[in-house]
Amino acid sequence: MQVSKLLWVKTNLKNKKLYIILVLLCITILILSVIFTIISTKTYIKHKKSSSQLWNISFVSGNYPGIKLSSSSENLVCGIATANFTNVTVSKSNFTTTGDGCVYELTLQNTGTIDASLAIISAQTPNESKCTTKGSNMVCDSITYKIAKDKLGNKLLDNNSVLPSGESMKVYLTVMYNGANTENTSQSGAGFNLIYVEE
Amino acid sequence: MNNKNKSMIVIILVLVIALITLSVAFAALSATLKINFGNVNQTVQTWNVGFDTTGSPKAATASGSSATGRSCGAATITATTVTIANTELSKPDDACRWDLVIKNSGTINAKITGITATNPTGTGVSCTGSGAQIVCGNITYTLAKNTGGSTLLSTSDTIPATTGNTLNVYLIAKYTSSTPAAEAKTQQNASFKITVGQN
Repeated sequence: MQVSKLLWVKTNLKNKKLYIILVLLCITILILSVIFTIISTKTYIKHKKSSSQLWNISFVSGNYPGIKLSSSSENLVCGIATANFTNVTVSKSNFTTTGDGCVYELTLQNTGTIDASLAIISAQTPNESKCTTKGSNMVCDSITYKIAKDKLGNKLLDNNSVLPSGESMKVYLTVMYNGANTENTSQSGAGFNLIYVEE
Repeated sequence: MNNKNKSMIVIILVLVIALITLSVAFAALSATLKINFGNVNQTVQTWNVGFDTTGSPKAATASGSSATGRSCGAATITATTVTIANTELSKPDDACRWDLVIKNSGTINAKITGITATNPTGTGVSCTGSGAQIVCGNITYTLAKNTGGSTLLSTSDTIPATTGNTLNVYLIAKYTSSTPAAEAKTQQNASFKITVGQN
């Protein structure tokens, strides 16, 4: 009797686990489907007939030293942005005075045959910092990170920005210190993901 | 019960395959560009510039043909001011020299923005001059950058916060008449005050 009771409990638990996995999978697929539908305006089937279509969005590779903003102090040290195809890594920078800031000029290129549209800009917040993000602008404590279409940072890179096939555009990464901290601080892990889809 | 579990497992497998297919299709139609910022450090600026007070009150290096009628008082040093105690110089070439250091222990580059001399007191003392040199009777007091006293400290002198953050200066009291004094005269409390600012 006890053995059959144990068996019953074991089977029931196993069923519950399976149900949970099932529900989670369904939710995941639902979310992915919604995102896929929102960001994709044409289906892959349309391009099946053309064998010469090429999808290629990237940064122009190279090392790009940061340029000090005009409001910066002499002690500011800017890093170097290293662009490698779809990744950009900016090395360490050191700020000392309110107004210190570095701008990195990069070039986005569409060397494919399909026009691209910027569908999603998602920000990665740095460690142990309180951030407010809005598109390509992120403010974390006293440090501001942004991606803009102009050097002064007034025209933020926004969703639905189009990069036609065969063309390139300048984008400017800005990191700026606007605080009056009385203690040294450090942030790491800040970043942005730009997701381009066909226009 | 076994058949039920088998059906659930099959459904889960189908959903997993659907999930993978959706992910692949999503990846094929999009490009993700990643921007990562390295360490962003902020260092608090400190301001600490002035005379190095180590060894105060400081003895002088005396020079001249003999010690007769010559005595050099000690120099009391604060961060901004150096004051000489009773000093007697009574014959040509008698001199007292106090070796001083202006130090920048902060993180901000500095410069000399002002030099103010205070006349010594003593019987019958009257002075001319200002800034880094005053002439008081037969004794000339100079705040200089060389031991000979020919290069005066000036408001164009800088003290960087990094390498080379000290400036050697020499307070020199010298008997400048060509004939010995008829009687010994002691002067005291001649002083020089420096003001510094950000460079």
